[in-house]
Amino acid sequence: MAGLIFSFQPGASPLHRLDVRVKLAALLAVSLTSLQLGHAALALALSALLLLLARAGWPPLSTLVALRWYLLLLAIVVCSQALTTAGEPLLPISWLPASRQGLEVGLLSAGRLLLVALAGLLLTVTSRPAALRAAVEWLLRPIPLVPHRQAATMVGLLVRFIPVILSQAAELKEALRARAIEESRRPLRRLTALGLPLLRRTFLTADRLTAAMEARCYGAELQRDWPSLGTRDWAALALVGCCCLALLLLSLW
Amino acid sequence: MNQQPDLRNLVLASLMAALIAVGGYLVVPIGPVPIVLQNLFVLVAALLLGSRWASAAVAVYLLAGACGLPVFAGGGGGLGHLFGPRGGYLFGFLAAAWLTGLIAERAGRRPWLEVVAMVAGSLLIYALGVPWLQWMLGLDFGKAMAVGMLPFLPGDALKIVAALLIVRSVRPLLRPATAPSQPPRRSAG
Amino acid sequence: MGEDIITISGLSHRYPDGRQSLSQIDLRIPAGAFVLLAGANGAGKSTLLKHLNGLLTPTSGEVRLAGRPVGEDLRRARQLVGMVFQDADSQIVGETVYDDVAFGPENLNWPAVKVEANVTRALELVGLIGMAERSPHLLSGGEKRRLAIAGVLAMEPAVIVLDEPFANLDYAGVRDILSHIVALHAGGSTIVVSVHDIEKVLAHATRLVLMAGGRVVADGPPAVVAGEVEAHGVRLPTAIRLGLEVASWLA
Repeated sequence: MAGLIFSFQPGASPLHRLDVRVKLAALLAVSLTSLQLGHAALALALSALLLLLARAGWPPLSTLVALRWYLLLLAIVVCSQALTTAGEPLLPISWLPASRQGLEVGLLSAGRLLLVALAGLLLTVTSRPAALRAAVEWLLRPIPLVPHRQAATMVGLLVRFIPVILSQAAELKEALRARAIEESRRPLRRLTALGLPLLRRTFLTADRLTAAMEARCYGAELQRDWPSLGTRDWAALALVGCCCLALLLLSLW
Repeated sequence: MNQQPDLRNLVLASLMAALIAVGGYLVVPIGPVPIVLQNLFVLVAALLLGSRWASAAVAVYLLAGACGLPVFAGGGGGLGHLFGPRGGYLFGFLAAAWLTGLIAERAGRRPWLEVVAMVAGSLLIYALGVPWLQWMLGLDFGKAMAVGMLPFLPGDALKIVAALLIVRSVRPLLRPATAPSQPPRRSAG
Repeated sequence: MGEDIITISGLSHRYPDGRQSLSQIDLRIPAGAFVLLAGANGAGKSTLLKHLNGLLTPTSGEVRLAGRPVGEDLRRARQLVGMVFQDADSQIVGETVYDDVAFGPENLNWPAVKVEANVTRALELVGLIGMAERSPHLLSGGEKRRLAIAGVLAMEPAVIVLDEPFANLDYAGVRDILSHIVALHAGGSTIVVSVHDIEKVLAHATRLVLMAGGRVVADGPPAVVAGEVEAHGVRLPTAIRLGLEVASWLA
């Protein structure tokens, strides 16, 4: 997972150079479009995204490996749809009531979910976390009552501390194994033995982090200037729009 | 400390959010259904931070996932996950943090009320998660319960007791913002 | 040596729970000094350091920076006194090395051009410029410490305070950090380093301040004060015990 968290691949592809706000808008457009896509359009969109990911430095195979648990979930979606939808039997086995219609419906919904997942991955791979965080801040700005500066700081800290906590957890698990936690028959003890030290550490870290952030003048109002979108950004936005439209037309037709 | 009183809460909530994200990957193999620590940390956050900051922690976790940072268990991340089959549970965490925190704030640290708060929160997670799962996967209600709730209940009961123990032990570290950030005797590493 | 940059007069501090942590501290640190603050764990070193940039407020007494009280303008104090904390991991805020160094300058609302110039210069100074896009989590212990130093340097401090900078570092790491501290001192910065073991830095310090039980118990040239450390819970370097001079760890 630590590898996934840092799936941002520094690079200079056209996608890397796009404004993050454009990429977020594109992600939203793709997510909404995916709900209406038919089989052909979906297959087209999926291949396009896999190609873009390859262009950004993630070959299709490693993409699928990274998403393996998600793929497993999608397989469950397909199976459950196939098994529960009434229709023309798929297999000549009476106790396995899989229908052809069910399989189609299942593949369709799994494909849609996969499309959105791939689009999200593409965004992560081509955008610096800090840029993403800043874009979130920008997006939250017009929403009242949401302290956008604080939200952006919190997202930044979250991203910063996930790998720290993960390695603490791994260290802790080893220490517990060295002291034969696996032999313990009391399940409660196994839960607290892992949870408690993790939480204690988190609290200590919070104390120190607060002091360190204060020492570096956190808290003053921060002004961030946003450059306006360039020609390239608008062109990309238009392109994504056209693609979505074309896919929709293809599905309807 | 001369700090803005909220900074420490902000830092704590961010770290709890990170802990919740990591919790999705921490599995304790007990019995037939492995126990994931994620909702344990949601409950602990609610008890320790209260309604407002605990929901902030979960909201930040969801926000990070929504904009494509891969924080959700199983990788991927992004809106697809948030609105995928397990999305209901994720939104359930938000509601649970809020509700459990709200009741816990009024519990005055009475253990039985804190247990009530956590039970209410845990049920709320399923109240959102199971119908969502049912709708997304096209299951009937009984099947959705069998897949999305019943197997996890014994683990949840265990987690509530564990959360109670953990909160008891960690609470002394939650000093008010006026206290020193480090006791002076702890100084060298 | 220039004018006094730090003036501490009659400083006492008591924690809200009643523990007395500092009593009656008077200390003047001239600009350009390299002060070694030594003492056993619990002597009050960290607490004293946290008064220099207003993280803690004196119960009585006063700390002045270049003539003005710390409490008068906390932001100025924190910009003037750059503080590197002991635990490297929990003071790194950014998701990447670059972002972390930019954190302070951005909080000061400096223009983007200046932020970028300062970050680049600070990363060059500590030799991390090639790792700007890395995740801080993937750095070694010594690199993390260097990153913490860079984060402070980018804020253009006059004084650099380092609390136990050698904790948890191996020999190569200690030499690495030490050489950076010495270079910063040579570049004109005032340096305050707190340690519980003086041997690693003694050869480079211009002054040794010894603390015990929340008080300053000795203060003077390292060669003079070093003889007293053992009485206050700090290990006497073996070289001095043998009647030799403590050699630089960089030699």
